[in-house]
Amino acid sequence: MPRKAMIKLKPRRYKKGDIISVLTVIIHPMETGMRKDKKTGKVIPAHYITDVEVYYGDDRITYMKTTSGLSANPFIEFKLKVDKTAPLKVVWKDNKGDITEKVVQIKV
Amino acid sequence: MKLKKLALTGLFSAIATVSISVAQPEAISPEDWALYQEGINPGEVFAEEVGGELFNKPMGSKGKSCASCHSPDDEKFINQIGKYPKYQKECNKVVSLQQRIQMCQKKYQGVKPFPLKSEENTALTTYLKYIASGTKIDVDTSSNPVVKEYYEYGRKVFTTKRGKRFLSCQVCHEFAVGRRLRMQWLKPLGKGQLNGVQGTAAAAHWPGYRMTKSKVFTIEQRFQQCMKNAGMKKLPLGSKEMVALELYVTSLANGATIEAPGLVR
Repeated sequence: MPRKAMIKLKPRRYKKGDIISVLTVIIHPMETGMRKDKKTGKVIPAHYITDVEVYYGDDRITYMKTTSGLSANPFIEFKLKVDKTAPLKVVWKDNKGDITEKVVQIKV
Repeated sequence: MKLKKLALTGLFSAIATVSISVAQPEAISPEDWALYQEGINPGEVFAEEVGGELFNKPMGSKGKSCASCHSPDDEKFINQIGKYPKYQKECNKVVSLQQRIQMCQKKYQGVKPFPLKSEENTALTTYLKYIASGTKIDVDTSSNPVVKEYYEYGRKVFTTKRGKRFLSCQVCHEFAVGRRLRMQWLKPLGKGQLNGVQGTAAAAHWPGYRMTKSKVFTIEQRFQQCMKNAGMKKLPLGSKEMVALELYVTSLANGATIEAPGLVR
């Protein structure tokens, strides 16, 4: 089941060759597997993001291996040099096999 | 009674002694706040993706969505949002925005309304406040006797001391303003100054994303959390007391610009 996510570019207006910031956030509980449910006393199973991949056009430009140490609703920011008109795609994968994709068009 | 008084004086003296010492640490330092505000507020994602989807989704026997009657670009519609809680002729009551959504759902969509506690209702409320960001809060407190009664009742709820610790909203947000509690400064809820402390205009940034709970809450749900911490019995959502309290607190922030969903601790 895809989750809710958002990508923002900062600044919004850019020229070819600029270095811009890409801000991403995903709504995810990021359960560590250490917490107990207060009512039932059972351990809440681990559920966290393991991979974040970024595609610019056809190339995979960066990837991140993340662990349960990240907070809930993780916010990730990275720099990007815009030199072509292509879609920017961010893919989040979690340990239960869910894949969330979000695409932003970059026009220069 | 004696015990309660003793406990109250103890609490105040504890607050007073803390406020004398210099360079106190804060729950979230100003530098950290600046960092948090650089990023994306997850509440915004919740408002846009979850609330926006519900707003455009046809529901019920009449197959209507909110968007088939209201347009998010319509200024007349957007300017109404800052006026809630508002008097409604149909039921002769003051009604909060959450309840107004329920009324709309029942009457025009023909669907069983989402409960006030549910995520869907919160999402719709957050979305409405989100598209109304930039407009001013302008609630009416004196135009007719019902509204006046609610406003005075709200002030009464605000000032009534109750619960284990014999506290009221007034104790922290009027009397103890400018002191510290649990590593945070106590601030007034209004727009202007009170005893030389700048108010937060609380109603303007609710519904807000609470970082400690990783979730978006409406202002009434926040009141309930406050009541729980103060050792009071929670007032039910949507009750006369709760709507009156919401009306009173919102009226304190009259004239402030809506910035919802806010980012709160």
